[in-house]
Amino acid sequence: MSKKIFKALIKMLPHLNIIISGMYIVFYIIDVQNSAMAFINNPGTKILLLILSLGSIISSILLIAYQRSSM
Amino acid sequence: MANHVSRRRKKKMLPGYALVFIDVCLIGVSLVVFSLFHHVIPRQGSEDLSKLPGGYRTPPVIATTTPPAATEGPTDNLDPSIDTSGWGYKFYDKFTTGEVEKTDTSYRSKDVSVTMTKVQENGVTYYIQDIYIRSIDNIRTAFAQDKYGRGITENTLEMAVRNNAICAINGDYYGAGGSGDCVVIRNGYLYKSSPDGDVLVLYYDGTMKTYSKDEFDGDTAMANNAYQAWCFGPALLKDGKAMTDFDSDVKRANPRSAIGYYEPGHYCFLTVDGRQPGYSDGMTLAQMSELFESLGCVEAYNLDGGQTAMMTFGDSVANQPYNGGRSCSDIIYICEWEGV
Repeated sequence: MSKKIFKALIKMLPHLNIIISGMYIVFYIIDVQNSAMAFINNPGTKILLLILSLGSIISSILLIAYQRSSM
Repeated sequence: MANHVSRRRKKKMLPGYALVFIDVCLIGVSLVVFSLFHHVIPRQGSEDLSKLPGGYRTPPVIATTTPPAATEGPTDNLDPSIDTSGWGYKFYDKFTTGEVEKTDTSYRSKDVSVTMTKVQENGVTYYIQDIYIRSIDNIRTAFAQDKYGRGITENTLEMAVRNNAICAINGDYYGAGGSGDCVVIRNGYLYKSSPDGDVLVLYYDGTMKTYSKDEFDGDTAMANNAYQAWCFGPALLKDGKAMTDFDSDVKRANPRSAIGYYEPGHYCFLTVDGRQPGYSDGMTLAQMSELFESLGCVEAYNLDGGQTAMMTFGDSVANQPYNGGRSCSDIIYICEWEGV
């Protein structure tokens, strides 16, 4: 059961990274137009950045492991 | 066998375009949810005013009852019916002796004088309210729905009417999403002191002063009898002179609201209409700065603008807000003050 959940999480991880990255692109565009709206400089966005960083590290580790195993 | 397994796995997988579509939809949904919490859902602040730092102080006696030096007012043949208390002595010719005189563009009483002027030039339409008040209590601020907090908004006109304002202008929209950093001192209470830009302070003695983010300190301001403080900006004058460099990212022509200061008891509200081709394009910060210098102000400060920019006179909106205007967190208004 836990293996299934782990596999589902691994499957969802790249999509999570894409979604948060997409959000950040929108935040960046809004911030360039009007930084007073503070879409980047606020606690909520900082948590998203942390999630994105962790997600990217895990995705990268999995990709490296996959590349090494398929060599 | 291996081919069979691979075909079965392929059948289960969604096509690439569907994955892209789902991810884009999820980005949209996530943005909506984020914006809802960041910008829309109200978060009320402390309602127990006694717990706020600073707290309300009654105006210091020196601010409103000491007559100015004789050279600042009439010395001979002063009508004995003229009330010489507060700034009434200094601006005696601006006030009436008791009656209220109202027109479509002016209001005069024994304590308040407001004259509104509409100017149309170079494709820009703006409104100036020239204000004289007898006491610092004649200039006040109000919160949307009478509550302090983020995301709590109300129409500027509704706030003005509810508070019996003679005239009003939108404030700094302190409760907009943003980073949450702001300075909020209103009617003598300190609500918040974490500046994220230039700050304007109105003291109980009627003086106004702008501070940069690094210069401002809330405790010092309260110790020096701060009555109101706003944090939107930027400051528009330096030593009474127009500026060319501003601490703001929104420098192009826009609808704008601003407040100007001449001397204690004498202020002005300015609202510039914009984003309406053929009627008014709006003003840049540099243009507004030059306007305040030409008016003779010594301090001027930009308030929230864009669709928020709104000015009221009596029970109606004086200007023509972009797209009908929008609700905001607070107003600055002039009123007849009868005490708490």
